[in-house]
Amino acid sequence: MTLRTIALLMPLALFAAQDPKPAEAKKAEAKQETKKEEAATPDAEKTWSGWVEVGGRWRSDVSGDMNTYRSIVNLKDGFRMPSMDVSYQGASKLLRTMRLSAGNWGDPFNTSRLELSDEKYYRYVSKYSNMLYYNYLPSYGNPTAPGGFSQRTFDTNMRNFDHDLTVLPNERFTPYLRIARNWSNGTGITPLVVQGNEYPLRTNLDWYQQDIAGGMRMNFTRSHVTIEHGSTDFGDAQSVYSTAKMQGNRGAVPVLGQLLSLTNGTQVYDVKGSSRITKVLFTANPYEWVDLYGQVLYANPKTTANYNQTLAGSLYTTAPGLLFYGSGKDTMYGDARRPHTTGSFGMELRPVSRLRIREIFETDRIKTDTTGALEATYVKDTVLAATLKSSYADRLETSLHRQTVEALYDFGRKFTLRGGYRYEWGDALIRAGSLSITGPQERLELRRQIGLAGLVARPWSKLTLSASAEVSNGAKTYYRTSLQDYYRLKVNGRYEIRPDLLMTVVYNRMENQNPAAGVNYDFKAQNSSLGLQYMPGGGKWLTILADYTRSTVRSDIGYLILFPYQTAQSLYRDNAHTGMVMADITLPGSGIHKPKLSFGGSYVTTEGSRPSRFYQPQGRLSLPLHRNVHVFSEWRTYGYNQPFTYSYETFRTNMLMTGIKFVL
Amino acid sequence: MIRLSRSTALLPLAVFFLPAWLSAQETTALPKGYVGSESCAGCHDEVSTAFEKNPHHNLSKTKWRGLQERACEACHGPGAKHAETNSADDILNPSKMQPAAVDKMCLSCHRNSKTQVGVIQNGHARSAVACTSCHTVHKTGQASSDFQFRTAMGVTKKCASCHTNVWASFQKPHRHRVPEGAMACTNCHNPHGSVLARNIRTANAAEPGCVACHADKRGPFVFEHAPVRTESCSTCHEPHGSANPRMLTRASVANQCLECHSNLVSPTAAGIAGGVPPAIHDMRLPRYRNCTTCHQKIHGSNVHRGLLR
Repeated sequence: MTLRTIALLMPLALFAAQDPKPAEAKKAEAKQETKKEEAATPDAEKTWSGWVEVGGRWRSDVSGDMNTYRSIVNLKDGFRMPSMDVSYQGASKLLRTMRLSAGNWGDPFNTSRLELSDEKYYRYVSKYSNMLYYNYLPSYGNPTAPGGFSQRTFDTNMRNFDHDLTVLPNERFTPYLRIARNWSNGTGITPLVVQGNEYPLRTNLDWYQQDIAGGMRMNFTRSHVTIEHGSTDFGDAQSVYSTAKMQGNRGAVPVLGQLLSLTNGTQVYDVKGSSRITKVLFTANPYEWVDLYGQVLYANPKTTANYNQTLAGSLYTTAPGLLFYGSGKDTMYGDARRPHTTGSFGMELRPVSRLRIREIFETDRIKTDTTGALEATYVKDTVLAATLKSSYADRLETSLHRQTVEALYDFGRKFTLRGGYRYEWGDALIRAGSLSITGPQERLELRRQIGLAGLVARPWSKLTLSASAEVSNGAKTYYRTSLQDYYRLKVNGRYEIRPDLLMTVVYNRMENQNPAAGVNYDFKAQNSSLGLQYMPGGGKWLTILADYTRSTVRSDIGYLILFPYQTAQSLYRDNAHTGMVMADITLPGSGIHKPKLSFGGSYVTTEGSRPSRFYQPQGRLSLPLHRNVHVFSEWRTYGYNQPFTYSYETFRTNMLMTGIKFVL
Repeated sequence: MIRLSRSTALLPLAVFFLPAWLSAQETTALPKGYVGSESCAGCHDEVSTAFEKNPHHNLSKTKWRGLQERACEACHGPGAKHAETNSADDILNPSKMQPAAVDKMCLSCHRNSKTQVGVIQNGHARSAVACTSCHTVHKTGQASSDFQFRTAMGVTKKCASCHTNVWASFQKPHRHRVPEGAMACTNCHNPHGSVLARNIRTANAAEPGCVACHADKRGPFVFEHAPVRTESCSTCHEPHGSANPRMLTRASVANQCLECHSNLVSPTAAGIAGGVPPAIHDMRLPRYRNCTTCHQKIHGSNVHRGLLR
């Protein structure tokens, strides 16, 4: 389907590539181009420009917990290419400009970007990022759990590759093709869960997603339409395995007088998926006083899943007629489909010059249909004891709609006021919270009315203030912690104290309450930030950027524990202070030999439910030896600790990097 | 064999002739009040020379907009009076215009772009943050926003200059790798506006942008965890940065889960979902207080309804 659509779009691209200009115009333009090229030749720019930085990093021993260090920072020793940005300006028709930039090569988070273009013919952009995701932090759970350490860990490598080719045959029709691949693989630890116990086993993780999409942007004088169609392929092949005898999290606590253990266990997943993706976008300005916007996005992801589990040991089950068994095998087949449509339509009307009226309708619909079949066999004393078969079907449907009307009025050049109203409504059909595989479903409703207001003030040229607020009275909501009765307030201000000193102020506040009996949800969050930017003489020799942010989160909600039956309050507090400063100084020197010194860093301290400190000071000295060669040296320190709670996760390390920057 | 209806067969012909017809509508004569870019260059030689390296210089090569002789006046308005008086009051200066007027001017061309389709939903536009707040027009080379925005750190620096509170969140220990330059704000947000709240990008057409990198969370799963579809990822995660591992919004997993899973009857009389965990979970035992040790497929499972495997 997708290939056929792309194939249908290709002739369109070829037609579009036909230059609509008459022959005389073409000749005249060709002459003009020749003249321009001739004129440009004498003062042609440098063909190559940019820089390449290479160097070596030395890191001190990590004092404290290495696994926490790797989970948060993960920088190592060795040869590195911290940054590279090289541009090429050519005269060739096929390659007029090229830019290759890359960062952090050799480190766990590296990126590159290649752009090739000719403004008359094409533009190609390729982006690559590679991130090592290492997470060995047990403290997200309860570290006192038996065997609770290291039960959910990841040591994976996630990569993204994007290719985007836009053909520019003329200004009106722009075909494009996009290919993207996202994949991740690595190892980790995952608990294998069987009834009555959990066994942390080694796992292999391996999944990918690949998109291919082609589209055509049709650009008219007062309107534009983009049509895109493509497909996605997805695969996930995880496996979990162990051949060592394990007692699992239950340890030496027996079940009905018998100790449980696992001597051999494997789980193998094979998930395959695909999706069609379609986008239709349009904008129009049919008259000076009206703008129209619209988009329809459609995806239809489907997956099929095969799962095989083989277990051996002293195992327990609640299956009828069985309590303990020696080995078992589960085979599962599942199929899921989820058509997903999102759309929005909006218009801005300008009936008089100072008034703008915006109306937007948004809709989002998801419908998931799934089926599955499971066959479980139990072997007891080398005899097949039971075979259980079950099949099930599941459904999840949700829709969300929003209608917004807002008016913006300019009171002269200095003040703009806006006010409006948004209504959000939707419904959802989900499976009820029940142990039964074929349990009931629940129908939920969402109804929310929201008032909108805002102000932008520029009382004088040095000061800009903007504020926005929304207040909601939710009649119906899905979950206990969802937005119910809430308000949001945002204030931003910028003030030019002096021509070389700029101050930025940000204040955000949000409160959300759900007073329903048994819920009593009370959430408050606010942050305020003050930033200063000092650049005397336009920043030629000194630039200082400094920010301080204070943020607080306070959440109270009642919850229920069935065993032992009790009600409790979940209290979460987070009071954070964050300070950042960065100074760039050009030191005295002769000619080009002016060293540059940068230093600063950030410090975060949080109090409340998880008190922690994290600091990252750094400094860098760069010395130009020659117009094309600079040497640099960079120092960084990373420190982290969590007083009172997870003190064993503390770490601190220093690192030094020295290298050469080649300037083209 | 593919059968085409008459209207379908005529479509390629219409597409073929459309560009030719549109070209016929083009005019190049200077309208009244305009003087043309060459006149501008007479006084503003330095700006004019630099402008030749600017992407907007394409206007002088684009015939169908009819701006090829007056690329400067496309943004600065008719310049005849200014040319006579040399007064700054007689020419438009976008840096001194109201943000809405700047946006209108830029969008008169750039509205016709797929990235601008969500501009009407954009918080920047509603808060009068004009296009020129982020994008430079006359600067060239490495000083231009066009050059700087091609790297992740270039984008991030620009966003952080206003969103200082968000940048502060990224200084927390558990965050996406934005400070390291591995990602930019624009990996997740479209600053020009999006169909999703908070300018979140979409991926694979209609899916939330998170799944562009976290494809394993996309599904569909045979057994979905409903809030993953009905709410946003930020219900449980603070993507900008958190003091809690996995960027969770709560310090312990038990509280994260139990705050929702606490209704004796689901849905409640008020229609709120989230059943209480069954009595087999003795929450006094540490073994049960880390829910995701067992419910490891918390984003959705293809095997087990309880999201166990």
